[in-house]
Amino acid sequence: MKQNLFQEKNAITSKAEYLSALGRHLTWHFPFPQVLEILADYQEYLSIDHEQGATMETIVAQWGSPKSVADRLLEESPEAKPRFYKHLAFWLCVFLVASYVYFHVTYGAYIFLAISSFSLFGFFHLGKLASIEHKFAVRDESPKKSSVFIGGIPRPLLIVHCALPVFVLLVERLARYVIRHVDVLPKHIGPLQTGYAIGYISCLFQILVLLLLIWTMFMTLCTSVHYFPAAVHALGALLFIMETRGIFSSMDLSATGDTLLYICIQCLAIYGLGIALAFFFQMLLSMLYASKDDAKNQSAQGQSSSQDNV
Amino acid sequence: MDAQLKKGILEMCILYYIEKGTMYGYDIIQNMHNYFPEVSESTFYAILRRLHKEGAATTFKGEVSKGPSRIYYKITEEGRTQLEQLRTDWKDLQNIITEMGI
Repeated sequence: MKQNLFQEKNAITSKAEYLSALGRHLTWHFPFPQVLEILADYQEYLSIDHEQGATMETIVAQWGSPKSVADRLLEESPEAKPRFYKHLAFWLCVFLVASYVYFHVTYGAYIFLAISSFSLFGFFHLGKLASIEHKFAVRDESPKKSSVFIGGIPRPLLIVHCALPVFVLLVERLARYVIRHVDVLPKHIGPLQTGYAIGYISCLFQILVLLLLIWTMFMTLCTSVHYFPAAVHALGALLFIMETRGIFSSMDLSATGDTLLYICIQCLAIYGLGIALAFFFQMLLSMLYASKDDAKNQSAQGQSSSQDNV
Repeated sequence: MDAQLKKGILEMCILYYIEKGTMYGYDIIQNMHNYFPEVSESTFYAILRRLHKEGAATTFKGEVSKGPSRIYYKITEEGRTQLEQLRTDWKDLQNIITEMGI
């Protein structure tokens, strides 16, 4: 029931949508080449139904929802189960270790950011869905609806991450300006003191990230483990914002703007490191898949090489 | 019906079906669905896929005059042995049930 509420609330109106939803359910459980194989089969079968005049509604009723298809396949594929990142316990451990590091180690915030970037790899992993959507939507004639997901990555998340470096640079410019013109700046913004106003704005930002964290945690518990990387990542961002606020509030404002620039560059460097780490984990995973599939293909080829025509 | 028991039966039916001749995946699924209308097509697809992975069936691509190539299924020796085993099991079960007079 919970899953119906969150995952299947939109009726599937095209074959491409069905296939990309199926791909989304399968990606975390099966190696990528197998996902493509299954999707190719389903594309073939749905096309036949489609040619015979079946509507999307009857097709879904006949074959079941993408979630139920994935469930049936999982029931029949015991080897698809032990994937370490599929278990909530694994992500909880990452979460606990990262939190411990944050509170008990000097420069914990930086290490935390690096660890939480590990969760970013989850998003890159979902980026494979971009290729699925591309591959299986091409032959589908029905128009594709615009979605909140771009290649499996939520559009807001993508925008936030792209805008972050720009935001950091803007803050740096603003801070330089404030230091230079501190005497002529207004002491009050409306009925509020300027200092408090800035405090409230950053508080609001922090609350927004906190809400994001609560939402992603809620979605993890209610729908799918897919949301857990986002939750860890949101916590990383929240703690990092708190840390940055701490640095700024305890900073000697008479220091030159270069100190500020240094902090901004440091932030960007860590941000880049996070993304690099995430890519590294992604590559590692792909290599694991590749070696397993090669071994399987070699044994399968021996059996079927003699039967290539009908 | 008990899920495990049902799965065994479905597996036997699919193996029996592909033993009769090379079959296109879609046809196997649709025919099975006609016999068992309450079981979804996806269940048959999942079982077929598992049989292929376990080596009970092989697949090969067959060209069709129009459209993409199709994947056909064919039983292997291993599949035949498996089918015989399932048949024996099922007959034993039938005998027991008859003997008990259920």
